[in-house]
Amino acid sequence: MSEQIIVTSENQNLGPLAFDINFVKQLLNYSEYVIVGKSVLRIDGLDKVLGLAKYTEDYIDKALRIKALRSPYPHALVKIVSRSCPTGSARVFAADDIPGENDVSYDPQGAQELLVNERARFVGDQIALIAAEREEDALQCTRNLEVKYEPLPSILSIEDALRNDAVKIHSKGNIAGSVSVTKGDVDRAFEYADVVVEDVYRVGYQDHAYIEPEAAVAIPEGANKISVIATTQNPFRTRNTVAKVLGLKYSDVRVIVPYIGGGFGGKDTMGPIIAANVGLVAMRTGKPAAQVFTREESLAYHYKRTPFKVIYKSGATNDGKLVAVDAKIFADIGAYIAQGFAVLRRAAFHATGPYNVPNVMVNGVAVYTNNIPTGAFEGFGNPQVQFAAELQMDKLAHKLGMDPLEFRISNLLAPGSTTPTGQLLNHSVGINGLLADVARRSNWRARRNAVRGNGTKKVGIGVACGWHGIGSTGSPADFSSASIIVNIDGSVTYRTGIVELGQGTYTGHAMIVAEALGVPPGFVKVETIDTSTTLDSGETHASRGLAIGGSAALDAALRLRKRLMKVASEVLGVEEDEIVIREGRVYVRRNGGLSEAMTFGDLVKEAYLRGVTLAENGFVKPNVKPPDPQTGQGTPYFSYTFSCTTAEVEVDVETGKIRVLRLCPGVAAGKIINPELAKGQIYGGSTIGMGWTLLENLIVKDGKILNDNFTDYIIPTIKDAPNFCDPVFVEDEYEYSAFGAKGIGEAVITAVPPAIINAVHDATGVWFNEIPLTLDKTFFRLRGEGE
Amino acid sequence: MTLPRFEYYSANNLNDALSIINSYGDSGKILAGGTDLIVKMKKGLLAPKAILDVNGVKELYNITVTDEEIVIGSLVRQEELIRNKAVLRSFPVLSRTASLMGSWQIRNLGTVGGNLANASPAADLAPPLLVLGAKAVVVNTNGERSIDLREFFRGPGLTSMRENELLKEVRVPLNSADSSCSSFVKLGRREASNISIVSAAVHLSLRDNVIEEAKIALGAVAPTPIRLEAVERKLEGLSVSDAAVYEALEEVKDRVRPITDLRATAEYRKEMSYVFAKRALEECASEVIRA
Repeated sequence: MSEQIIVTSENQNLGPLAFDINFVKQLLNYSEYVIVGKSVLRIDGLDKVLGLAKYTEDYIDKALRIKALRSPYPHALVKIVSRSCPTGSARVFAADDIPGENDVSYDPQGAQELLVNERARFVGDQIALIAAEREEDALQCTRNLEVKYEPLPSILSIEDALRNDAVKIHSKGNIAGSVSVTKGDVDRAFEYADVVVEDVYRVGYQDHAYIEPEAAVAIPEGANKISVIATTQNPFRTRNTVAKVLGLKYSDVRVIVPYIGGGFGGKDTMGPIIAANVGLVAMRTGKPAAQVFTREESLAYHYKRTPFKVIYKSGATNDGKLVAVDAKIFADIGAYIAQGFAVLRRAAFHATGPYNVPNVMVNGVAVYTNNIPTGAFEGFGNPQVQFAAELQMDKLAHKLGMDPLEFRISNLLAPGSTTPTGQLLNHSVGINGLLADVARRSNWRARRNAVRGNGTKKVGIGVACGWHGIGSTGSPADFSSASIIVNIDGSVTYRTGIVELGQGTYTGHAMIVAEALGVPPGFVKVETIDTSTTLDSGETHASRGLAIGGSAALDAALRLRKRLMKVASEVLGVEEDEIVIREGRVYVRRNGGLSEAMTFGDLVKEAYLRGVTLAENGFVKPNVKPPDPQTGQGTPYFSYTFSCTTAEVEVDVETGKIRVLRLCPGVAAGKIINPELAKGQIYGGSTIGMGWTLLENLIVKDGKILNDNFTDYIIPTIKDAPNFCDPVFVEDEYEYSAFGAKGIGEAVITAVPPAIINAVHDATGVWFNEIPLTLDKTFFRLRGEGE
Repeated sequence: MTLPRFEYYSANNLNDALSIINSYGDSGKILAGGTDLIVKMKKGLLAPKAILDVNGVKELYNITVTDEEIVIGSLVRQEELIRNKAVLRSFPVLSRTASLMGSWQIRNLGTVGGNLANASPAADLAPPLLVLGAKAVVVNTNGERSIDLREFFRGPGLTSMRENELLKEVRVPLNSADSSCSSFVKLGRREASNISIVSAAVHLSLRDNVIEEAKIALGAVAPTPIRLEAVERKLEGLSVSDAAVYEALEEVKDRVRPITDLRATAEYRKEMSYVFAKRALEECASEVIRA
């Protein structure tokens, strides 16, 4: 059919995602977007402000309440001695109650039991689920159930895990996976480098601290069918996991995802697990069953940002050109693979930072320990490695006697550059203009040369950049779908499986659909996700929701637009290229002007009466090439978003307290669909990065998290948020995505921690190679003690 | 998380409250703002048999001023201290302290009495009240008695109140000195919602910039909020700008007995006890010199 508008050109080095942006512009038949690029108000804003938006817990009415019985030991053999609870009404569900497979592993390369059969591998590993009508009865039973533990030696550090005589946490050993990226000849390059810097960096855990803790409820729907409402970032993966655990077909499991109070990756990891928990109990009892984490449970047991140790060596020549990077990355992924190995791979592919480096050697290992498992968290391993890369950049500049911003400018990726994985970036590489704009907006030169403060308060300014590949690293199955029904009154029902986590996905998609269909955004209703009626859009992670999910929306909308233009041309008796559909009105282009011919609603009605269907699906799939396991050569992402920021800090040398005074962030994220929402992502991502760097110190002792509350796990308040410059947007449109958008969610945070630490160095002359900082450590280091 | 089970009582006047307290003694707990009690009960650290809600006891809400003192009822909310005109006029340091406590929501629940009776070493109202020479008035069915705040705190969570006593009010003597100042400073990781890592209050009476009387109190660096009387003696007679002031303050580090906990190490707290005593003193002095 002539409607087929997806172009997939295979001879492009960069596999395109979907359609050619020029084709889209041509099809719209008008020059300036009327919706895209405008700060349209959030379509979910009113409901959220009025308290009418519904979240998972709002759907829990009469349901059994579940509490998990969890291992108190980091490593132990476990046996449930008796299954009777002290209070009669509570019931215990263990591994042998699972009708399907006892496996909830996110990564097929590793196994993870939903309920441990024999061996618990971290403090919090689920041993049994206890369900009762009253939550307190379930809780009581978790305390009183007779369970025998035989503690095993536990591995609590990367170094211990890699010892030859280390206890094996999994049968294959303590290495979950390894990755290499090789380009050029690193050893030779270091010989002709004029300056070389080598250091060891450590970055710690971070909790997502979303406002809504994990929650799910399952409702049996007759024999062997079930519905689950859950806080998840991946409705379809969640469905698949529930089906696997319960031994059901995908079609017999329906996962519904209402509004989510923040995800940041945490609900990508936890969604399938909590959904399987409630699914199991509902299936076994035939009754609705619910689980809602307390804040303490969420902080103590949900999977965290992966701690890294990075040994980083880099060299440059006296003319300020990087010649080589050699990075060794060790990731403490915790007790299960979860997304830990994927986190490591993304880190490895970004390890050089957004620079031209002719000789690269990256080696990474994902190491099992008996610590809390780790997984997705904004940036997905990338902030961990950019921290090392960007401190190295400043240290090299320092050795070269160069301004660190100028040093970066002379090494930035540009159109025509090739990445360490051998990927040619032929367009949409806007980082040069971005860094120049950030420098101007922050008044870099003047501030860098300003006085460093007096007395006990020192001030400084630092800069850092980052980059972030869009989409699930090298995944051949990173497709996304969307569907649209144009109702006979002209209103639009839109479905995507991309989850509204607060980031503004629903608004962004509605704007894309509205622009492409020719209706105002208010015409578009985004339906609640239901895996039985919503098409598989993949996960809401990897900064893919807009670039990939939104492209599926555009795909569907453009097909309908073409169809409607054909109907309009027939009805109005003019050529299709004379028709413009825009904001709910159909115009005919005549004598250089537009004259209104009919309303969108009338056109839609006419289409129905002429037997033309106005329901359509969109489907897109990025063409990526999984990097070779030995050399790392390949195309892990179809495109990259770039970010840079400056940070100005004030260091109280008498207390070790650091305040971020101002950040001047910016992104080259392609077309900005909605500037206000994009700013929200920038302010939020920056503040999360600042919190991780300066405040959020997770205290772990013998594998147990001690600060499982917001009194002691310190996240920033609004009073801690820095002042922000108006963010810089360099709209380096990607030619094959929805209106040229790339992702924005994760790139921002990659630059923030190193910019802060580089600023602290500027203020004090001291390098901090480890984050999060604590007041104690900072104070004693500034006094010349420690490390 | 659900609370452990308990018997709930509420009182609408002081006499009823006292008779209920009398019958439960140590097995009961007073519910005022609940910002500590409920959290501890949720964590399973406390499981009182009975809870007496005193929020209906109107007598405990007043702030009254006499010729000699300000009387602050134990149920006065921390937020009230920030805007109460009498407090602002006579003891702006108490308003300032309250403004640095918790968050707006917590301050609207948390009470003056609760902050003291809870006897946290980090209770922010304790150091300024200690340097202002405040007394706690406690009451039981037999009558009232007054306890110098220096004698009030006995250890973490422990006070010198008897098990059937209720903290009724705090009396703060009005200052007669011509030239005096009070200050409070605290250290937390962030800019709000902090439990103090170290806190310090200073009260000085000055004549021609010479310290006639000094009072220093610190929080979160010992089992109770503490006054540092030995250091105070050393400061008296010194000019506020004299370098000897700093030498005298150095001794603070030897007088504190901090612990290592989730918020900071003992070594760090020891260092900060000096820094914050110094900052409190400097802030106090600058106030007088400016005026």
